Amino acid sequence: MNIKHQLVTTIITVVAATSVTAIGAYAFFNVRKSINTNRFTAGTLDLDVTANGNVNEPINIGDFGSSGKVSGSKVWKIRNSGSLPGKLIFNLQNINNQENGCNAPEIEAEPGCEKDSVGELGKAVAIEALVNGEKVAETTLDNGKDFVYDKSLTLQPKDEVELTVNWKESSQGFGNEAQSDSVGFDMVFRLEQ
Amino acid sequence: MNWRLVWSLIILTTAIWILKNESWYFFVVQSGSMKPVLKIGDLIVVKPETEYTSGDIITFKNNEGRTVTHRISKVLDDSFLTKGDANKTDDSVRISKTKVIGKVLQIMPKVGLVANFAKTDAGFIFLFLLPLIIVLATKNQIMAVAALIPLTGILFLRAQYTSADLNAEVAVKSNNMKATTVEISLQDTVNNSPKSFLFNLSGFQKGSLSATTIRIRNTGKEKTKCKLLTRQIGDNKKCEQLSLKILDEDKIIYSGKLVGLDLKLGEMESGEKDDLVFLISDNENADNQPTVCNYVLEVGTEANGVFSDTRKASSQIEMAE
Repeated sequence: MNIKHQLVTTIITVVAATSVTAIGAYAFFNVRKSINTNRFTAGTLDLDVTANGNVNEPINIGDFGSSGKVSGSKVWKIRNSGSLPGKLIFNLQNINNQENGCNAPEIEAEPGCEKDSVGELGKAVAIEALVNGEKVAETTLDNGKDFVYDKSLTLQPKDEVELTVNWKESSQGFGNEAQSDSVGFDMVFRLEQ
Repeated sequence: MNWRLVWSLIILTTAIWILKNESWYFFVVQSGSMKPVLKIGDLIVVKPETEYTSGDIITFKNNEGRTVTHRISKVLDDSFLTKGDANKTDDSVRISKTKVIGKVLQIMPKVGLVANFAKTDAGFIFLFLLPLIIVLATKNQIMAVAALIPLTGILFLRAQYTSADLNAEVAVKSNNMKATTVEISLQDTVNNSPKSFLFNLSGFQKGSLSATTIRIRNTGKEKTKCKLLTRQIGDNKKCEQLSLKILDEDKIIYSGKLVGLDLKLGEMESGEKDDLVFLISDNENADNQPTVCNYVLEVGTEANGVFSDTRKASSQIEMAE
């Protein structure tokens, strides 16, 4: 092998080795700059929802509108019972307004009343949610889409937060067309990592 | 053969290929919602596909920009519902198909821990620099197999992180609000059938007395107070000449003119009934004209709530010639 050939080979080798090193260093520092989430998270995520000491106790009002009874409240305690922090989400699902038949005063107020149709109570009931006393969502129970709380609060393990749901007659008001009507819904609480 | 040159070129081209190749990606699993399939510290190989089906484990960018690996639970028109195998419920947000990075093709248990080490200063030295120096310093062909180590180091440096986010959900079901009913009815005392008139008399004799009984029933669910009202219909004056007495269990609770009655009854529980006897008489000295009285009896509720009810019984009394 002549000297010239050796020189060329050496130069190529050095350039290649330097390039590889440069590429590796580039990749390394690029990774170090762009990734700062290299944490492994083991544990569990779970939550408990209680009201008056009862697990998953729902709102149950059977005489809305009687003797001026058009408002009330419910307090749920939401506790992160897992070992990881979680972001709190809640919303309303499966809102179901029912007519439940049409009695005489209802038909008088609502001539087209049909016993199996959609009831009017939901739009007459406004609800609001307060997390630790601060209002975070409100809606009427004919829709519920606006009643969403999405990850504004992180619950650390064993943390507990109070969610108060107040309900009252909506600004629209109501009369006999809502007699015997009912509105059912699910309140869904969620913790996400 | 100059092995240094050979291995240098092989390492260089392979390193460039590893870093530039976008047909697959490496991710280190950081959390445990895909247990038992994916465990924390596993390295996964993800390859972009044109089609994904339910059951595929995919890696995607969520709405917060974080990289998550979950299984497709439902394929929708332009998005996917996803779920971690260890989670009880689907993820709350649908994943747009454009946010999907690829499908998990290969799982390398615990290799992600090594990849994580490669991103540290020590890892960079031991998994890249040192092996590279050794390879380039050796003249031995077999020793140069160690070239695989720095290549693996580069491959590890390319690996990104993916969460397999846990979630927990509690649904408080069967929340229910039901409006009460406020309803009264006017009934016939014989068969409880609805009654829409009180008296329909023709040939009523001056000085005579006519009696009827009417049942008022609280058919609503709400305890309510009731009141009775009478008013004439039209502008004839005969109604003003007629007298009315109302008896409740043999006690006179009203005595006066037939029209203009405004009588408060007691509170009635739901389902309670009250039978009232109505006695109508004409003043003997009254004029013979006019001869007809049309009037309406109204029974109304006095509930304090937002609901109320009023039932009406229209009647006509026609005097004898």
